Amino acid sequence: MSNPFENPDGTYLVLVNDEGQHSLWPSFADVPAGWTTVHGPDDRTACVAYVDTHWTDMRPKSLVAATES
Amino acid sequence: MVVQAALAALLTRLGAGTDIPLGSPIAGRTDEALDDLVGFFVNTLVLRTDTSGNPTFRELVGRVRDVDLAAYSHQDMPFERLVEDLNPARSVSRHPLFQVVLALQNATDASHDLPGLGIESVPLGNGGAKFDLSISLSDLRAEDGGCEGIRGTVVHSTDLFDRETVERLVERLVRLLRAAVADPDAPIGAVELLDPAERTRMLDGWNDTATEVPDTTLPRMFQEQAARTPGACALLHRGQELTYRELNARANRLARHLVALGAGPETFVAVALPRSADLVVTLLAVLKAGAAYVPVDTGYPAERIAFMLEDTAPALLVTDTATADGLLGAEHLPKVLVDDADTAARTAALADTDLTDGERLAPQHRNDPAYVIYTSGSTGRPKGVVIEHRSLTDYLVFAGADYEGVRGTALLHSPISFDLSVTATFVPLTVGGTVHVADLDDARPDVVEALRERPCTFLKATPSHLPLLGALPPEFSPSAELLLGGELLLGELVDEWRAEHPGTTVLNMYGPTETTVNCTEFRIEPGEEIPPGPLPIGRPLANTRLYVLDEGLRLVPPGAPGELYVAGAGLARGYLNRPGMTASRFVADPFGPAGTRMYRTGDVVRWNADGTLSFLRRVDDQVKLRGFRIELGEVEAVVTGHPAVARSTVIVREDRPGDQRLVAYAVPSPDGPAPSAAQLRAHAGAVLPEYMTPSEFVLLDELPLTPNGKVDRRALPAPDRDAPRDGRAPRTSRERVLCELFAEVLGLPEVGVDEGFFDLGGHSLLATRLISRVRSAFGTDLAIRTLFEAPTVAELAQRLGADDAGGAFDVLLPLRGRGTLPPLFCVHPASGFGWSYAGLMRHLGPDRPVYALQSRGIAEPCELPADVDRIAADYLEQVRAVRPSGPYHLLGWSFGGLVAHAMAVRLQAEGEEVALLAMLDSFPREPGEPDADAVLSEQEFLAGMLDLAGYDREAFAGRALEYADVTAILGREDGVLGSLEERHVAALYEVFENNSRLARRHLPGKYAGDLLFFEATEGKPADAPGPQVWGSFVGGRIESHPVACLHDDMTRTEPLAVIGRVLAARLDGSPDGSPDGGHGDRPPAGP
Repeated sequence: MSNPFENPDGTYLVLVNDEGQHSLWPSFADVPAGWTTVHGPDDRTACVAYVDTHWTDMRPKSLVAATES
Repeated sequence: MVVQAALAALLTRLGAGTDIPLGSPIAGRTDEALDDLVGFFVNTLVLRTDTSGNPTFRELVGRVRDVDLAAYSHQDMPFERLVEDLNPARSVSRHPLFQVVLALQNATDASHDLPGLGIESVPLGNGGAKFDLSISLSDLRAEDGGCEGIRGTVVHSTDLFDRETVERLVERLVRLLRAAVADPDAPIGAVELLDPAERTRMLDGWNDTATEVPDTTLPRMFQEQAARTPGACALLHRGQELTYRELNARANRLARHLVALGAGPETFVAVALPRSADLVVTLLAVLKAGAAYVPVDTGYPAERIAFMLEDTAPALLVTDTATADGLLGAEHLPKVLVDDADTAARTAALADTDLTDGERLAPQHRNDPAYVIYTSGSTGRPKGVVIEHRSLTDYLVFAGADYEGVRGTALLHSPISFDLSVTATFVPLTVGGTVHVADLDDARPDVVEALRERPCTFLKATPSHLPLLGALPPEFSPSAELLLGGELLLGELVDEWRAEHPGTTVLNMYGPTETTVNCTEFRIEPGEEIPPGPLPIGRPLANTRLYVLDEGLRLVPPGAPGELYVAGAGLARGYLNRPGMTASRFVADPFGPAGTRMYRTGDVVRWNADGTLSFLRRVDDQVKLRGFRIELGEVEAVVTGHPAVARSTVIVREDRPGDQRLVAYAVPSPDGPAPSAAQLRAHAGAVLPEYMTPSEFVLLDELPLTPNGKVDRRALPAPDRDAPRDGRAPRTSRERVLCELFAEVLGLPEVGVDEGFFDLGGHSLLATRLISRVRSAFGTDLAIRTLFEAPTVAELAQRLGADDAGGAFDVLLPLRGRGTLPPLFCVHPASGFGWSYAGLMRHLGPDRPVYALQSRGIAEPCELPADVDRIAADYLEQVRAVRPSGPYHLLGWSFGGLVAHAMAVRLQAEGEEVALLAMLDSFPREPGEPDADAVLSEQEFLAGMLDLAGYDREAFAGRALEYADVTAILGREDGVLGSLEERHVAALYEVFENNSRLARRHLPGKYAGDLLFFEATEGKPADAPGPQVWGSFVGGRIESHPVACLHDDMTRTEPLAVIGRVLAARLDGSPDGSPDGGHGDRPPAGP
């Protein structure tokens, strides 16, 4: 059984939620509620690279807001 | 063909793969000559459907048509012929080539009109399902021939399916057909197989776990508990006892110290401490400071530790002096040594009250990290799972309410680098229980005593621990709950333990580190019956939702395999410093509240009809071994990293049931010399933790491949564990016994004194087993550390104390001195030695003491006994020193059998019970037979001595041996007798000669009991006496077991295996137990 998130030839999106958390997402599936596409469709490597470059603070946004307020 | 395409698509969707063979009956009347013949010519075709690549239904029907038309053009080929030619692996449990039949009866109902008869079709059962599943369909035709639908019947094997499952299957087939007809251009993977009610039940019913959890953190929960029960015992370690007040005070002081040194929210504190009270104090202190702890297992290789320290960049490292000395890669880190006088002085000066947010570097938040635990990573880099306080709190609140035993005493025995330990460390401290820090491999008397005072009520372990738990003193077993997790749990294994502990609830737990300790549990209440085989992993814990999804992220129906995704409060923040990997494992949840995530576990599971889950396998090649998750790819990367290795593959093998091992196969680089297994082991061991280091390395010229170019793992050869080993033979009795114990525990035929326990495939659980065997045999408590430091028999023998060569010739030699069962006493053969019985031990179980009796006069000259009866009397005195009264179990080989018989006669005369008399090829002098001289010449004896020391006597063929020769050779060989002098060898011959002479003269008495006889069948003349010659001297039955070996070889490994099996069954009170033994029951021959 292969996994839809592990297909090297697949096409993916990068989604982000309100907490700033990122998710790889196969482009064949509907984007779940509460998530916004910020990158793609693109190949897997490019999407993972996008996340690595853009999700530099992995703290949930609500925590950042609470600690910096 | 449309129905076939639909059925094939359905079976694929339900987990049958993408190559679906279906059986299809065909009339077999292609020849016109048959048209007028009455008869049954039906043949069966195997119609194969390729459903791969998620085709549209239209596409699939096209594929079916092509294949079927090709098949029909060969329809006269008899099915039997096909099976014969293809010769697939047969099994009585299934039909060859296909297990599902699809039959379409498109002939209209033939109406028969016979004069004077009323005719009606009646369905006729055929007495039982021939196939797993057989679907027959026929058109319903109206009067005018128009189709009115399709009617069908399903016959199913009731061993495999229940009625409800088959009804569901049919419903899904109809649903799939409807969808396919409505939209033939939709891919077969997109069809909804669930009805809405089913979907709701799976998503909401089975996941109905929402529970209120207070907004708090572990330090606060612990502090509140400390305020409620300040005087209660919170922590126990080797006689040290801390109350809640004391533990809280110590943790508060240390926490203030850590804050002063820079620990606070969003910082990490590495903790490298042995399991101890200090460890628990430190973990609480780190959390109170607001920081997250990073457990560092000092047993990990320096490289891995260095990576973890670099990855987390901790603000501090808390350790102790001894540990800090051995820790590489931590030189640059600010350290807090918990056993340092300076630390003690500084913390003593600090307040012991609970910390306030104002004192911390920043206020504590429920989203702050609480700990980071590293798991194996596929790219060769371990990954740090960051668990936030909110998740930990959620788990603690759940566990505190769900488990009763955490209010009593919980044993903390596992490494804190493994999140199994989170439960035992923290849950009791939030509900008023006691954490007892103890090692499971360390049944020290003080630990057992402490457990007797405060009985263990709660224990969490892996299923691999179960046998160990059974072998430990009963005080270690929990009375309220036993939680097992980390690997597949078998019902029979649990029931074995439950039989001894009927009042304990057992829980099968499942959960990746990424979901905070556990996410499912399967409860087995006391008295509840469970089936054998793998047990379900159960239902979701509080605030946890589980989805089983297919490759298209659709819910799979109950019963079908799919990958498990976990959503809910337990989800980790992610992997430290690995955003890309986090985003690909923690993904958007299409089923939960908007904007939430789910974690994909990589585990293939299935829903059972009752809403419990069953674990099936890993989705990739990640495996779990003894509770540890291992990415085989990571291990492969390391093995292949050796400069002399071109390629490698690593798999888990289970060549002996229950003994899973990691085995590495390596192909050497073409240039340069091939590496040795030892070099590869050293290389891997330097980089990988012990549990990830393969226990076997096999060198291959090339890796076997499957047709599509992947490594064919099933074609990899089993490691040749039975290959002869070079290595010195044991030199002392202690070494000999240790060699036996090593071999027994490792499952090897023999072990040399210089071979390392871990090199031979020993792992930590086997090590604990060895330690308990050593304890039984020598009465010595061995720490596991000692085994790591002295892993060979030779080294370990020294650690067990100065070896006393004289002791090897003691009259009563304890081969295994401990055990609760009545001992087995084994009398030496004519040579006078009893060491050879050491090989019996492994067959008799660890709880049966075994003693050897040996002749007097070897070590020190003394007057040799004058008859067998006097020997018997002498030995009984020795026996009674360790076992004052019966029942007695006696065994003797050759001459020893005569002595054992004489001992038995004497015991009975004294009114004692003899429960077993066993002989290995012993024969009494036949009455009236002349009193002959010793059977062996001096020459033969000397050659026999060389044999005994493992020296090949063929090398001396044609040369007369002298005592001096033998002494010199034995000395040179550094063997068993190396320390003996020439006069000792002379004494040995005297002993041997005397025993042989006594045997010839001895006339046995009458023993009023049964005799268990093992007869050597090789190398004897046809008229050689058999066991029946004992008829005159034995009152009971003589039961004989033939052993295919020479008289002199009866205590070699293989014969002893046969003998040991029968003996074990007899000693344990059951009859024989071997299918081939015991054929020779003979009635007692009258005198």
